[in-house]
Amino acid sequence: MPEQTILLVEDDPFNRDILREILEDFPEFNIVETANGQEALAWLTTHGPPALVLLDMMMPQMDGYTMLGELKQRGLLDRMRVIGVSARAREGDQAKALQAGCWRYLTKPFDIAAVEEAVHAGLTEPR
Amino acid sequence: MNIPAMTTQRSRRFWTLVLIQGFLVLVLLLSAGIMSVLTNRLEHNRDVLLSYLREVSYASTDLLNLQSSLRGFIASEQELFLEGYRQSLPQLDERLSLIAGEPALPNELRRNAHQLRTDIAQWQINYAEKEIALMQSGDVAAAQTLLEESSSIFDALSMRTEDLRTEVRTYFERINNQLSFYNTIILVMVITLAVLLLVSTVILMRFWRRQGSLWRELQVATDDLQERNLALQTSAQAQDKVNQQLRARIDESRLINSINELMVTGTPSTPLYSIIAQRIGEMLNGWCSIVLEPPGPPSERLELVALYHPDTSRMGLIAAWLQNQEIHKTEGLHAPLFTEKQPSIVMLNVPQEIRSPADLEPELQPLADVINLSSYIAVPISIEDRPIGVITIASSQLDYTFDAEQELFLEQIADRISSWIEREHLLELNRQRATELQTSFNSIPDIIITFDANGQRTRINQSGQRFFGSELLNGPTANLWRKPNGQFLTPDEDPVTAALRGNAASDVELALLSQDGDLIIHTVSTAALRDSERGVIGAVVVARDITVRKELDRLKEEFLANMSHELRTPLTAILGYSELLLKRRTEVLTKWHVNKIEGIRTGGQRLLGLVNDLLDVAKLDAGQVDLQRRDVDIHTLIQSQYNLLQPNLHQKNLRLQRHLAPEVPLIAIDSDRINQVLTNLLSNAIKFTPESGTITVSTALLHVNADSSISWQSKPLPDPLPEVEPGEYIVVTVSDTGVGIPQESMPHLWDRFYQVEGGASRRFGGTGLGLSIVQQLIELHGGRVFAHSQGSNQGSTFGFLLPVITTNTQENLPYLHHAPTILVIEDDQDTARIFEHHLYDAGYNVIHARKGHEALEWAERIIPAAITLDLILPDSDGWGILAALRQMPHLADVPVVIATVNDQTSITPGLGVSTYLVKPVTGERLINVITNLIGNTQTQAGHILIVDDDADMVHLLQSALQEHGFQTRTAVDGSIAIDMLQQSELPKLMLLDLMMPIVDGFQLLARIRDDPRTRAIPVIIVTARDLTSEEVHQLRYAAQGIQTKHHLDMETLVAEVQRHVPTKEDAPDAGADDLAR
Repeated sequence: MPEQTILLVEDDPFNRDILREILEDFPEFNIVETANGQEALAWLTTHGPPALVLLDMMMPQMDGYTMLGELKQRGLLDRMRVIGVSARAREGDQAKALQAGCWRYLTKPFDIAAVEEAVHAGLTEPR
Repeated sequence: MNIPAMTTQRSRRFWTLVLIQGFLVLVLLLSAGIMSVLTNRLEHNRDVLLSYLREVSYASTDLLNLQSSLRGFIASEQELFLEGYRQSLPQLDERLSLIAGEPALPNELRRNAHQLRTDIAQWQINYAEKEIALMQSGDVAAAQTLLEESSSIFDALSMRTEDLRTEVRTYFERINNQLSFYNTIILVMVITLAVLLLVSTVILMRFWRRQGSLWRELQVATDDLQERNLALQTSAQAQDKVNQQLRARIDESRLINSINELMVTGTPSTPLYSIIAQRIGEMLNGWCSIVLEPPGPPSERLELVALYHPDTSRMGLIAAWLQNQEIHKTEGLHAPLFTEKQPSIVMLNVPQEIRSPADLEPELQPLADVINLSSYIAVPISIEDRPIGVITIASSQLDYTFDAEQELFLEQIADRISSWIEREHLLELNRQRATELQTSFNSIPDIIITFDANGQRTRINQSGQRFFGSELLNGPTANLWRKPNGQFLTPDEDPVTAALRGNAASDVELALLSQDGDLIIHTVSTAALRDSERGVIGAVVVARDITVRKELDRLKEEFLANMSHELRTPLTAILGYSELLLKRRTEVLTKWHVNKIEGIRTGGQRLLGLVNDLLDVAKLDAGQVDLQRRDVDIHTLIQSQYNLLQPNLHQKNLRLQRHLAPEVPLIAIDSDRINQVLTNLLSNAIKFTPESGTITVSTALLHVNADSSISWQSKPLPDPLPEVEPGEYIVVTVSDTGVGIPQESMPHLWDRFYQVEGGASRRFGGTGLGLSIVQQLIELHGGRVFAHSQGSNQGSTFGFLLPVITTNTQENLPYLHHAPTILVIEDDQDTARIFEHHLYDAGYNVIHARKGHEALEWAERIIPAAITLDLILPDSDGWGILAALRQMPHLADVPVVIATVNDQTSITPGLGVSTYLVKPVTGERLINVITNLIGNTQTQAGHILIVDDDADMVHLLQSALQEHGFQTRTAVDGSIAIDMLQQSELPKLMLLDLMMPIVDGFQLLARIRDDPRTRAIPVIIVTARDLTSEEVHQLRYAAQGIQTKHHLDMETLVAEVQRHVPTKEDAPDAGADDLAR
């Protein structure tokens, strides 16, 4: 069931692995891994909004922003919480991500604690 | 044909002829007359004579009768006979008395006749009568006796009578002859007369006729003359008129010329206008006025700027009156010039009603006579078809009117005035612009320098002057800038040369030499200055101080380098520890752990790669990459790459094909860097080629010709190659069957950070630095990179060209800042390299010129601190180069140290080192050199040996040296010098002439150098400026004889140079000791 799923959208296998490891702290949730935006969109269209989305903003073929735009267009975005992650740590990047529809923004390399905290918040905080 | 003269002549002739003829006729007539008279007389005489001839013949007869009568009487005593006697006697007597009394007869004849008569009478008396008487008396015998007695007398008488007769006859004949003669004469005279008359008639007729024709001719000529005369008169009148006009035009012309002169030197102003008006007025003896628009905003008014009136005493008043009038453009006689743009107003005869001004103030009435116009011409002064003023001429005298020509004259003046005014405007504008330009030029902080077409500096702005200072600016321009690393620019790299060729450059980084000797980096832009007709007429160089920017750049680079370094240090930990952990994988670690640690390692490795790339980029930017070139077989490198990349190839099932040309030689490259290049290209190929693709590495050797065509020296490669300088190259290509390069990416391919699929949505990772680094590294080697692709998914080929250089080529030694530069002119590579290293070690920068002309080019562009010159150069005469160097003013004080080389053994070159001075040598120069070599007299005792066969030279040198306190000894020949060297105290220094008999300079030099005792004596060769090939040959010959050890001479050379050019480290007189070694 989608409400029990955390969707992972990340192209780099290592990062995916790290995130997955972190997410294993939330065993009640199912983790779906996708390597790019298209895959993710396909899953979302099929399965509906998950409990949380961890979205890498910089990906080949369809990046995070584009995907968010798609979701917004399809009206799916407000039903999801998206935590954006990116190596881009400059000032404008956070604002940009939030404006695109991210609920929170995390920078790489991951601060494990910060990721855990954000995921926790994302899963438990009321909408 | 001078008819009058002829006529006169002819007349004279005629009359002379007539006179002569007349005279002749007269004479003839007279003569004829006389002759006829004479003839008449003669005829008469003749007739008389004829009658007397009869008479005389009768007389004779009578006498005979007498005689016979008497005889008869006597004989016959007949009285009858007496009758005869009586008859004849008186007849005879009468006859004779007739004859005697005839005056026509000659006197003698008459006398004879008379005498005869008398005698006859006598006879008569004496004899005849007696006889008769006797007879009568009857005495016949007596009578006969008497008769016989008288017969002789009678015979005599009769003979006399006969004689008389003959006389008369003769006389008669004579008269007759005379007469006929006279007649003949008369006839002749008559004939002559007739002929004369005929001739004269003919002559007369002819003359008359001729005269007639002459007369007619004369008449015609006279008519003609008259006509001509008339014509002449008319034309003379016309001519007068024309002359008058001409004079007037000449005057006008002169006036225009004089006004031109005024205008050339002066600017339009009231005084000059006044002069113009005055000159015109004076020439025309009339008014002349000039009115112009007043300065300031355009208005309808005109102001009087000049006035001339022939009545100069009242001119002032008139001018004042006019000024008061307030002249308007649209009022007055001149109005049509403005309102209707009429070209001129010409009133040669001004109509009565407008002759005088309508309203003249009472006090000006006295001027009325001069303020009126009888003739008036006004012409506008226009600028660009707009009238801005009027120039007017007018006459007040009723009898003096202008003519139409004067309108033309006035127009010319007006023309000139308007040009003048315009010119003044333009000049003013020009001045303003020039000032603006000058101000801009000087206020710009950047350095701006302009050059002419020959590369000579024409202008430099204040910033430039302040930067370079006057001393540097007086030297050669090429000295002002360097490469950023401090090395001199070659003529091709010189910005001015490039600009003059038409190759403008933007933002080239050069180091400019400031007046403090500092090299300050500027960004330099150059451009050619062009003239539309003549093409390139100069160049302009703009230099901006980018020290600050450079400093920033440097800080950035430093920062980067530091940061990279800092980045690497933790990486050591990451990579190191993960490696360590993995080493012990079989111990405590689970698969999960191993997995994660491998992840750490991979991440760390990736990071290291990136850090290295960044570091490389930073170093390349700062020019800090020094290539360590070694002769390398590039195929070996390719092979090791192949080995290294096997796993990666295997992973994607890629095939690596190698097409390596065997002709490819060893080339001098930095193998690490080229490896880096190969790795990069191969990794890219692997990355961008999908599974089961093929990667091909190929090499080839080629030659690029001067016309840019390619001669392959091995199996050719199909790929198009970039343009490179002519030379020998190897080419390496890496082709793949991968994703290819889209057309739009081609231009940016090598750009830093460029990625074909850049941005967030990229399939392949990477920083985009790789290709940029590849390009920089290849270009650092002097090569070029290239790439092409047919398009997306059609594979791509990346490649590079590397010039075939081997390590025999000159290395670039780093530049020593603030160190003196020595120009080494040496053709032998090895020798040059050795020089360079030695000099460099001693603290000098070296510029190496291999050929004579190269050396001269360098010498012209920079001021080296010293020059070493090998006299034996392949393409030029070493002495000639020396001479040429000596002729360059900015090298006048640069010492030239001659290094002659043993050209037989080029492997271990021998050197004879001396200092050469070229004659004429000033004493001062000589002393300087000597002092430098051995110190002055205060520091050095001992003598100087002068070896020269030229007595004058010797004397000069001696004087010069002795003046400075040096002791001298002399030798006129090398052999003597050798003796002196062997026998007596060694000189401290030798001055040596090259050309001497017996033992010349070279031989002596060889001897000196050979002998360890004398080897160390400094030798100065003083030689004439022009050396023959003989002398050069001598030098070569001599050079072979000089055997010296390699090592020692290097030091000597350096020491030599140091003597002349101390570096910062050297003590001032360190030299002397070195030489003693």
